[in-house]
Amino acid sequence: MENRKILKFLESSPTIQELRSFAKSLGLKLRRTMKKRDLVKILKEKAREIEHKNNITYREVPSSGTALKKHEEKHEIRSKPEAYDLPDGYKKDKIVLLPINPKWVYAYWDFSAKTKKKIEKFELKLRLHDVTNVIFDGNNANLTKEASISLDPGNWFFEVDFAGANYVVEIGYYEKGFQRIMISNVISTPRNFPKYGKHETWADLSRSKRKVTPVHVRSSFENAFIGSSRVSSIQGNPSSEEYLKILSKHLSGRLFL
Amino acid sequence: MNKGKFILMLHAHLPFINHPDFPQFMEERWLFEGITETYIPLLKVFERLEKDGINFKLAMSITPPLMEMFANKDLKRKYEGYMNKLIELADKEVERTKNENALKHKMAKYYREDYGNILEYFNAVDGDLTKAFAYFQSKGNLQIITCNATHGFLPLMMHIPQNVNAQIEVGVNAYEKHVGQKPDGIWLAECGYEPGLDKYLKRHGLSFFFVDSHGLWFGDPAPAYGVYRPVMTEEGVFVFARDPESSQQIWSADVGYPGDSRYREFYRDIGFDREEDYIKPYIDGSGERCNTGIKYHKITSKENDLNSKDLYDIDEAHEAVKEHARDFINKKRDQVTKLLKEFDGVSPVITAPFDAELFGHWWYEGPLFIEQMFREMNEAEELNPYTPREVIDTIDSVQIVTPASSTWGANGYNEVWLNGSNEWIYRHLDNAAENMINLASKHYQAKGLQERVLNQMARELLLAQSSDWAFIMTTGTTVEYAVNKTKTHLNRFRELKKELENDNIDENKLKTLEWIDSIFDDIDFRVYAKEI
Repeated sequence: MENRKILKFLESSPTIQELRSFAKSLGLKLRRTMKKRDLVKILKEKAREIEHKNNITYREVPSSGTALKKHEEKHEIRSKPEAYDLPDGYKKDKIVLLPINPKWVYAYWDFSAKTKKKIEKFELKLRLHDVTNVIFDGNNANLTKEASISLDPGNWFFEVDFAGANYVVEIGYYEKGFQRIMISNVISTPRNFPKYGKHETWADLSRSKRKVTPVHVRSSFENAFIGSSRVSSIQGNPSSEEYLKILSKHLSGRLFL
Repeated sequence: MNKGKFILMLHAHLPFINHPDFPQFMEERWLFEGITETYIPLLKVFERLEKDGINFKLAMSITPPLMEMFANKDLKRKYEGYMNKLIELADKEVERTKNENALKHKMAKYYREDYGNILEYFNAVDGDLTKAFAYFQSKGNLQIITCNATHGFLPLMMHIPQNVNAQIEVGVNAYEKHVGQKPDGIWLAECGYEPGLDKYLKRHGLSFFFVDSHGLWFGDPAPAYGVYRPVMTEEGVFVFARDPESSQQIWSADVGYPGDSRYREFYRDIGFDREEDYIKPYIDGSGERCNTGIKYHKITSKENDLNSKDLYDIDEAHEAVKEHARDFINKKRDQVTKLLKEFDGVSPVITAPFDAELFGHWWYEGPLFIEQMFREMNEAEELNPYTPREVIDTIDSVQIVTPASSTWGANGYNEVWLNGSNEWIYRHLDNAAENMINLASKHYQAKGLQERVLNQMARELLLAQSSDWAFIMTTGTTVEYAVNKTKTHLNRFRELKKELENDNIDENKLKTLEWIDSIFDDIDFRVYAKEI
C-alpha cells in the first residue's frame, strides 16, 4: 500500500531535502517557498487521499433505495466531496487584512500577471501600519512593521502591539522612497479592556427620545469575572501547530466532534 | 419587589449535509443523532411541561440549514431507515444483555422503548420538526429566531458587504419560508459580532441578537448594568449578552454539571465495543466504526480511563439531574438577589445561551435537566423565565452601546476560524463571493437555464461559507470531509461559472447539483446584486 509507504517514510524523520525528493517522486506539485512543515502536510494529505481511494469502492455500492433509482440515470456526478485542486491564486491584484484577536492579524495577497511583470526586478515589501486616529497618507502611521515577500500569492500572520487599534497593510518596494503597489482594507483589532466614557446615552422608548447622563457603572463586581475570563487565555502564534493543539482542547459542544 | 428575568437560548445547528445518491453516508448521521438525542427529546420536554402547566419560556435559533434538512424528503426517509436499524439493534441488545448484566439489560430495554417512542413521535409529526417547534412558539413558550443563511462566519466577511448582506437576507427568507412569518431576532453564527453588523440586521427588520459577555464588557461604552440588562445599538437593535456564571455552571469541563460521575459516558459506545460481525450492519457501510447511541457506562471519574468505567444506572443519573437543577436555580436566586441590590431594584436579565446539541447528544441527561430547571424555576420567587421579545416589551429605557468584536469561540475572538489550519480557505471564498457579486449584476436579467445556474452558484457559495468547515479543520478530527466539502463547493461554483461564461450549460449536471446541494430552493441570486 502506497499510503503506508508514505507514512513509514515520514516516521523516519527525513530531512527537508529527502522530503522534497520523495514528494517529487510521487508527482506532487512543490513550491520553492515550502517549509518542512508544508512538505510533511502535503505528504500526509497524499497518504490520506490514497487511503480514501482504497475505501471508495466499498462505500459507493449503489443501494436499492427508491429515491436513488429515480435519479440514477441522469446523475453522472456523485455528491461525495472530493479533494479538488484549487488554484494557488487568481491572478488579480488583491490584498486583504483580517482580524484574528487582540494580538494578531492576517493578510493574504495576490498579483495580476501585468503587475508581476512590472515589479519582478524589485524586492517586495509587505508593510503593516498602525493607523489608529490617523488619516493615513502613506507616511504618518503610528507604527510600521515590514516583511520581505516573493511574487507568489502569499499570506502573513502579524503580531500587533495594540488591541482596539486600527491597522492597514500594503505591498510595495523601495525606490526613492516607498512605492506602493496596493493597499488593503482597514481593520480594528478587538478591544480586550473596558472602555469607560464620561457620559452614557439612554433611549426612552415610549417617547423615542435620547438622554445623556453622567456615567454610572453599577456592576463593578463584574471586574472579577472579566479578570478571570477565558478571553485571550491562550497565548502565541495562531499559525503555529502548538497553538492549534491548545486551541482544539478548548473546543467543545459540537455534535460532530 | 422586582424579579429577575431568565432567558434560556438554545442554538440548534448542523451544517447542510445531503448525499441522496448514497444509501447511507457517515456524516448524515450527525442529523440523525441530533434528532434522536436532542431535538425530539427537547420537544418531549416541552410537551410534558405544557401538560403539567409549568411556566416555561425560552428562545431557540433553528438555523436555516437545519430547517432545510428537516424538510428534506430524502433525509426524512433515511432517518426512518436509520431508526429502524437502531431499533433492530436495540432488540438484539435486549436479548443479549439478559445474560450479561442486569444494569445493561435495564438500559437496553430503556433504549428499545425510547427509540420506539422517538420514531413514533417523528412519524406523528410527519417528520416536520420545524412545525413541531413552531407549535410551542404559537403557544408563547418558545421564541424561534433565525441565523445567518449557512452559518457563515460574519466577522471575516466584513470587507465584502454584499456577502454579509446575503448571509443575513437569505437567513431571514429561509425562516419565513419554513415558519410562515418574519423572524424577530437572530443568532449570529458563532455568536460572532463586529461593529457595523447591526446595520444589516436593522435593514432586514431584525430587532435583537446575542453577544458573548466580553462583547458588552468591552463595549463602547462599558454598559451601566454589565451583561445583566439588554442594551441597544446606535441602529436601534437590542443586544443580549451571555451570563458567564450560567455558562460556567453548565458548560465548564472542570466544574460543570455534565461532568458528574453518575452521568452517561459519551465515549463508550457499543459501536466500538461489540465484535465486528455483530455490529457491522449498524455502523457505517464502509465498515468504519462509529457511535450507535447505545451506551452502557457512566463517567465514573475523570481518573478512570475508558476501559475501566462503571456501568450506568439511569435512575441514579435522574437523581443527579434533580440535584443539579435545584442547585442551578438556587444559584440563580442568589445571583438575582445580589444583582437587585446592586442595581437599586432594577430587574436583572440573565441570558444563558448554549449549543442545543449539548443537551442530549453530549450531555445525555441534558433535556431532562432543562425540564427540571423549569420545574424548579416555577417554584422560585426570585426569577421567571422569559423570551427575548417579552423582555424587550418590558423595557422603557435602554442604554445605547456599541458591542465590541467578539465570538463565543475558544479565546473569544476569531482564531478558531482563522489559524494555520484553515487560513487557506479565505482567498478562495472571497474570490468566489466577488465573482458572484459581479455576475449577479452582469446577468441581472437572466432567465431560464442561465438563471438556474446563477441560483445554483449562490447555493454553492453559501454552502462553502459554513463556519463548520473551518471549525472542523481546527479540531483536527474528520478534517478530510471538511476540507473536501470546502473544495467541492468551490469547485462546483467554478465549473458553473465557466459554463455560464462559455454559454455551454450542461443541464443534466445542473439538475444533479440542484438535487444534491438543494438548500434554499427559492433563492434568488440577485441578492448579490443589491446596493449596500
